[in-house]
Amino acid sequence: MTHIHEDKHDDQFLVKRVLDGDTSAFSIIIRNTERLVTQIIFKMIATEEDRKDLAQEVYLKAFKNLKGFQFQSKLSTWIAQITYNACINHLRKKKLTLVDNDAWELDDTEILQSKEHSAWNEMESFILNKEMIRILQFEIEKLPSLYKTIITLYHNEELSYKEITEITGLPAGTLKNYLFRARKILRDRIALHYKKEPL
Amino acid sequence: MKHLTDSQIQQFVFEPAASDNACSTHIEQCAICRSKVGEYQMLFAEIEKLPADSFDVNLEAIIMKQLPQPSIHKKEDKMLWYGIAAVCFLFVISVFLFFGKELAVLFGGVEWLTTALIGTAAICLLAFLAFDMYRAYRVKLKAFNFE
Repeated sequence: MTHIHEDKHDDQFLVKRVLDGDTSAFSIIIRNTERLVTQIIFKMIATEEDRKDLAQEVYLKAFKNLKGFQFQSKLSTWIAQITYNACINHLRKKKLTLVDNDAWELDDTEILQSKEHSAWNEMESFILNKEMIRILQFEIEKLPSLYKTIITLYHNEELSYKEITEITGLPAGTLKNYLFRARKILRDRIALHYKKEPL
Repeated sequence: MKHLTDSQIQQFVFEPAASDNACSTHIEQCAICRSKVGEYQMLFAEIEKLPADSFDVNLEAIIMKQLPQPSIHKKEDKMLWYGIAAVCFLFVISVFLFFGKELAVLFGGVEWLTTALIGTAAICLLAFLAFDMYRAYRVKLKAFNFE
């Protein structure tokens, strides 16, 4: 709780400095939020050039609209929200979808096969394999943009459901449902991978 | 034995506080569900260790270059007006100090109403000229791209 108050206090201090004309304070805001913004952009946008353009667009938009920030959420959440919306608009322009229905899920036969051979109890040795990191990254990359993003925000950035709903605008129930499905797809795909690549 | 659903298993792993006792009792007794719990725990422990994505450029520097520079005109304007006011004040004081007697003689024969009218007209004219000069100065600054 104290931490949240401190964050808000810091946010207010930084925003006031920027609004008073001290643009150098904005560099602190960039430093504080760059990681979160980068994670969202990398998970939602595939091309390197678009990612850079979007990151710049996000911060310039945040700077321009800083006067309108009401401190109803953390500054980082507000900037993450701008990032998410910028990515959504970009995907819409490119006519790309966020979640391609169930096309990403394995069919029942594949899951059954993976479970028959499932040697998940031997998984520990597999985890130790350096190859696992590459496979994990590969499988996460294959997930739909929205699934990748929420998995990253929840598990890597350790944001709460409330913060993720604020960023994405998804209802809490939908967010939980997507998160459950994303984890399940990932688990099934890793199991299948393990079956295909015996150690 | 009826096994737990995937949602129940995930809830047990990722939101233990929201998971009910029946689930934990089942997991203790059921090796299949327990193994699924282990799978999720191991998988996401690894995912949480994955390195974060990052740009290969200095994003902060690129953005800071594009931000508009802080406006110092307001401060400059204030200083300019304070300066003009101070000069005017000193001028009026010095006129009265050095030419007080002459002024008294000059305006002694004129009625006070006439004096007031001449004074007001002179002040208005001066203010108008000063404002016009300042406006011309700002237009020229803009033309030279200094603001």
